[in-house]
Amino acid sequence: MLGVVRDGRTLSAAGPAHPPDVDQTRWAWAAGSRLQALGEGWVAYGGASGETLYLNDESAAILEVLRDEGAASFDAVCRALAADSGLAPEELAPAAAEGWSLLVEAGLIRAVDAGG
Amino acid sequence: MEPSNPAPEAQRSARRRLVRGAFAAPAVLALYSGSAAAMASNLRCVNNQVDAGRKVFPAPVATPDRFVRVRLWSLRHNGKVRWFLRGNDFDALTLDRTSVYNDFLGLGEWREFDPATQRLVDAKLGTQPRWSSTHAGTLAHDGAWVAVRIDASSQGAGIVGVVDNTNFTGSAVSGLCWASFVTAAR
Amino acid sequence: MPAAERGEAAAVDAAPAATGAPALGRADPRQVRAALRGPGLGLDLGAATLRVRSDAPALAAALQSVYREHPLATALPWVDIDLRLDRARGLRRWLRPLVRLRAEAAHPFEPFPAATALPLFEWGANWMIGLRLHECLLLHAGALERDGRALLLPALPGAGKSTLTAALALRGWRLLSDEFGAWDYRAGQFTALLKPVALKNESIDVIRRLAPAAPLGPVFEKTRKGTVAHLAADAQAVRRRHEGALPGAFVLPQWQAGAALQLEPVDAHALFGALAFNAFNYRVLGATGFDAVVSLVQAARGWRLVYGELDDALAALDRLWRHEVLAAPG
Repeated sequence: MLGVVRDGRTLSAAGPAHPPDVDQTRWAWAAGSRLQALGEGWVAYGGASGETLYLNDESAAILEVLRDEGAASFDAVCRALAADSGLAPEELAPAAAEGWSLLVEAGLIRAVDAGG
Repeated sequence: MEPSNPAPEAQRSARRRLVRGAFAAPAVLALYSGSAAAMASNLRCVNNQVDAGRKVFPAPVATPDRFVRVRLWSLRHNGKVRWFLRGNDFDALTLDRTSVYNDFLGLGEWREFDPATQRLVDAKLGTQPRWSSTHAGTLAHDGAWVAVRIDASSQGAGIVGVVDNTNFTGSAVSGLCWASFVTAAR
Repeated sequence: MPAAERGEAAAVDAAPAATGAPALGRADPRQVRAALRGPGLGLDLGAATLRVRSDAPALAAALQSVYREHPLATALPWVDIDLRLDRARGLRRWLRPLVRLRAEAAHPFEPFPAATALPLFEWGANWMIGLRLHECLLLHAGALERDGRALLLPALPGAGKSTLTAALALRGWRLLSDEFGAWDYRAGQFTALLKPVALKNESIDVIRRLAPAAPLGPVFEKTRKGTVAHLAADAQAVRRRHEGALPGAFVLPQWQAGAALQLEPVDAHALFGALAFNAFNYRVLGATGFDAVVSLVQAARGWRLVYGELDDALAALDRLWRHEVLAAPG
């Protein structure tokens, strides 16, 4: 049966899981993840997914903030990136949010408990 | 758990490389190991199998190509689904720190893709797709991908296709080739 | 198995070349056949040891030809990969006879015509190495050593990797493998998986023209990959197969008819992708594989080589080695 492949299984018409609430949660690197500068770019390994990825400076910067802070909320990361880039947090938040979902999907970052 | 990484001072910082006054779209591009393909010499089969009628881009070049994946978006309404490609995902493709030349789909553009025929449907859309004039539908990325071939000079990109996961037919990429692109289950 | 042959097999020296075992190419063919039908023929490739057993009549002579400098051995202390090639039973045994490869109680391939037992053995051995040898990161690459450093030629099929590897081996580079760049990530060195170089179709004639006396084995026509022949590793390569090599350079070759020579640096970022993408067991190794490729990219630089004439490529690699690899600091 023809279909769209997702992890080797044919998708049904059911929708995706409800996305995480990026504003209230603290986030950290997934265990076993890696980030490495090579040449003019970045390569990363998603500890939660086993995937290998190319990143640009912006997505690598998000990871660096989380690495430097240990764990941080999305808002806190936006504030840190704003300080780095000279933009207001709300100016870069839309792009950062989109990148956030990519980093989660790639198994690079994960939500941590509120107290953790 | 502490992230596994060299000490920050041992490698350059992405944060310091951010351009003042700008924050580009973060890109995360999955790189697939060609292990299955290498094992069975199957990347040759990819090049051999790409049907001229299905190719969207210029013919594959003889130099080794690289394969990455790009998100396929679902648009759902009343239990039905249609699939779309998003220009922002193509625009974000970078290799060797330069953008992959892309005149396929630009920022803000969308185009419908039919996995059954492995073809693009209709013309580009300049806005986010809607199910109909009266129903927006639900647009999401829920784990489906197309394989995109970028030639060795990073010039141009070609959609290789989405595979039938039971019979490995009806696709520009056969099962063993696709096995090198499918992500690990999670 | 007849008692006389069992006796012969037991009498074969089991030790590697250092203790005086004869080279396969100069061994008594009866001993080789007896070993294959009995305890098995051992092949120490360097990073892995292989045992093969077979009742296929043609295989013994073919192995003696293409593994001519490997020592004759039957009782290796350890076997990484165990293969059997058995003739089909019943009527099939006589009408268009077939041979089937068995590895780990499975038959990974369709049967081959019995006359092509050697290509089946070679592909089967490669398949099992790629599946099992996870103590190394296995790049899909030609690998050679010179001056203690390894030249890796990672390439997709059809790029001319084997032809170039064979030519370099015939021009003084020590062959490690034509298929596997075996990176021992714990020891931090490339190691040999020393098997004959598989040449296909026009490459066979190219190598014959380059070196008329090249040690080529039998030619097999109409295999699934076309016409195939194998270039045997030389005595030095066999004798030194346990010597490792530090990373020297990665060169991504691409043969194109009529192309002018191009040799251009490849950025580390792109080299990472080329190596990971071309590794047999990168995904299996997970984070270890990632770390291994990062370390390789940090240890040596990469180039892309496009060529139309083999001699041009050989000369370019020689210059690259002298001016870029040996002259590099550290």
